[in-house]
Amino acid sequence: MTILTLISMWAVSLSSIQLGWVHYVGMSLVMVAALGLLNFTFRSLFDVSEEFLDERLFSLRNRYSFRSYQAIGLMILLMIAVLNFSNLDPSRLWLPAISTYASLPYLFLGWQEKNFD
Amino acid sequence: MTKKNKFYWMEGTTKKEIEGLLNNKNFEWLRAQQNRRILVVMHSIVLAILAMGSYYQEFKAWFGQFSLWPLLVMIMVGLLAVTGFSLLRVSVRGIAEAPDELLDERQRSVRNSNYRYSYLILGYVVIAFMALLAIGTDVRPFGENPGDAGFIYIALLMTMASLPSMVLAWREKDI
Repeated sequence: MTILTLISMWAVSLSSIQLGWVHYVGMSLVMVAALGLLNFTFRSLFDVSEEFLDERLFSLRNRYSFRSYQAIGLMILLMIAVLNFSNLDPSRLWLPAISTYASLPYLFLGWQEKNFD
Repeated sequence: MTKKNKFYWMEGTTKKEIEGLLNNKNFEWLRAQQNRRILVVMHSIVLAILAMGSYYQEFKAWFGQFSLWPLLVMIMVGLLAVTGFSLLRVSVRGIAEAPDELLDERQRSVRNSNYRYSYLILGYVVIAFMALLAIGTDVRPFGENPGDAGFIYIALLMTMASLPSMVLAWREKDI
């Protein structure tokens, strides 16, 4: 669901649709709800301090940080390329970019980890 | 590429390269934490100067239209950035870019824990980059009439590539 939300946010932001504050507020609310749900489901693993994590959770968090860094690096590269060749206002991409950055580690964890208790 | 020298697409590196770095006996002086930290500071300064390469036209106007100094300085900064990146990788034995299968459990754990910090720092770096675009009216890297901001891109991409090695070099006592 979050992946679909993110894809739609990117699609709307990269399209030529005129965006007003209502659209931004709407997108923010949907994203806050999705992020809140992700945080709740995965016990804020990527946002809590180390002292609250046991060894297994600590190792899980670090492992998915590695994958997330690789993915976000590729995304930034792609974004720069897209912005360079299209006539887009970069300020339209703030919201999807921040949302992707905040949710990516949780998305990897949610997708790949079989057992998360 | 032979099967022996496998290429790792996600890490952007080859098996031979990482094995070479892991078993490297040269540059031992570079692996002391203090020297690694000095290297990190120097590399950060070089990256900042590289980003300022967008003022190339102003440099030219300053030195005179036909002076070769601005070009030489920027070539030198570019070479320093590449050298700094290579030395950083050597100093941390390429652990930051190594795939799982070439590392032992301890090395994997060290690499992963540093990526956590790299991910956080990268967020701030990208926010600073986007703020620069929003605030700097002369910084026009995108659009119909882009300004000369190519150096900012190069510095950003170089920072992205170097950040895990920089964090590793700064934090780890023993490589």
